[in-house]
Amino acid sequence: MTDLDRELRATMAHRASFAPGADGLMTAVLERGRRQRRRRVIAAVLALVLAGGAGAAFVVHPEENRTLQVTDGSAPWPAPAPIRPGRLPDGFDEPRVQYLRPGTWAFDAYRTSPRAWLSVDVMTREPELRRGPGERRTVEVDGADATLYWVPPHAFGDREYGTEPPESTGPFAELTYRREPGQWVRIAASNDEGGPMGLTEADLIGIAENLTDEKQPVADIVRMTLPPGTEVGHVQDGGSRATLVLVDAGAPDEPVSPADRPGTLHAGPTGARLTVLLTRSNDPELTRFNTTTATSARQRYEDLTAPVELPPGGKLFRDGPSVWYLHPLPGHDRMTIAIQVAATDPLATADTLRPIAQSVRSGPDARFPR
Amino acid sequence: MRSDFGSYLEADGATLLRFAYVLTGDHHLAEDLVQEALVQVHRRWARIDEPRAYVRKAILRHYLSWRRRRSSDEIPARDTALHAEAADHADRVVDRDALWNALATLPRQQRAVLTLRFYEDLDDTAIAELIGCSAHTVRGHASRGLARLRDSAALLHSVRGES
Repeated sequence: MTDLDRELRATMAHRASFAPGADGLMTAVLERGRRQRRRRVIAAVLALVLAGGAGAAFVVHPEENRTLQVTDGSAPWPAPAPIRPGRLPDGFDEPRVQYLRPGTWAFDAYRTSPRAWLSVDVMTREPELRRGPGERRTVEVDGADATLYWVPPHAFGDREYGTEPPESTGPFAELTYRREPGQWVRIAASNDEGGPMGLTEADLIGIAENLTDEKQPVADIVRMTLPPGTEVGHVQDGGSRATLVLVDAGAPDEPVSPADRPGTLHAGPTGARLTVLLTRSNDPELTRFNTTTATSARQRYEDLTAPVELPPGGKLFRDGPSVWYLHPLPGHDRMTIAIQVAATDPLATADTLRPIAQSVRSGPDARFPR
Repeated sequence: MRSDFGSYLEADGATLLRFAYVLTGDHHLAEDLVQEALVQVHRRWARIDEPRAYVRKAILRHYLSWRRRRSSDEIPARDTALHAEAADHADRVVDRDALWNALATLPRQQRAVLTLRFYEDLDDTAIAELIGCSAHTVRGHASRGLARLRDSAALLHSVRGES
């Protein structure tokens, strides 16, 4: 064993003692599960509402085998973000644009020292102002009023800042303002480890005043044919995992949510109709579908950890209130396409989902393993 | 079923959070990964015979494949941080803070392999099974990760030598 090996063991053992505590873990897990179920229920209810309305001709006989009426060409891709950040404070990596939900884009950046997450969100709708124990006041950005919410550095667990992130975990700043008619901006920064984040009020105002009206395209990672009446409502590029959420065409714009904080997962759009996930074939989200034929505990465990096995044409799985259609991703032997839709949705049949899955290809910006 | 899951959380929750924190170096991300994995386990509790193995694997897979952050995959190298911290710790070739910070510069596959090897004390075959690659690939990740950490240590050493 080398000195470096010993140092690594010691460092990891030492650092493990700084891990978050397990108090409240049960509550957090149950609440998270409830939120996920709630989102599925909302999607199912919306699908039912739609089924009773404009889509009646399409959905009257959901049990009937139908061939999807695919549109020609590739899916209309989300519009580019209308602005881009100018120069960021020293040390931040190059921000990339993400499409969070209709009418909302985000640029995220990270800095290791002083550790800080930074996000610049731009949206067409006025966002909700954060309520919490931080200080809130009005500042000026380019001559216009902006709301600054500020939580100074403090120890993790400081009672003054409660137990809810982002305030509980460390310093947090959020600058929200209307940049021009129909365009709102939220700039948020945090250090979720509690130390100084090395950003001042002037830094945030400087970022705001250096935004430029230069459009930034959303990474083109997935090509597919959309089911009639849907459009792309969310694009998340995760390297070897990409998520595309389809919403009903004409879905209203949504501002960024207070739950969307820099450095964390964000919620997708409300009213999701189909979720198209491109991921590794051994992603646990998919391998759970291997368990159907297992007869022993060992076999079940092996099934849960082996890449999902599919026929060339893909396969439909039922999963409580959802239906999943899994299909190999052409050109990527280790990747699988997974389309999730509410079981009550008229699209939730193998004959409908198969051609959708078969139309999916990786886009030029994708970085999936082959 | 709820009480069984509760007992499992009581017994393993803190262990899972420590593992996730060493893996990610990030409180919030560690909690996020553990909670997400446990939601999956809770949903399928009756069908899972070895929750500890399943959860650990789920944490790893999410860490390696999910874009937990909304932007770039890798945390950039932090030479400036090594410089800054060098002056504070003059006695050791590689102090723990610097090593911890250097770990944050590694690609996720390399950090995962080193965490499983040095924190979980797993051999390459077990790591390969958990990550879903060959033992040869595991050795490659470990070798490159350790080399990068040594480079960071050498940089730190040279900085201290100059100061």
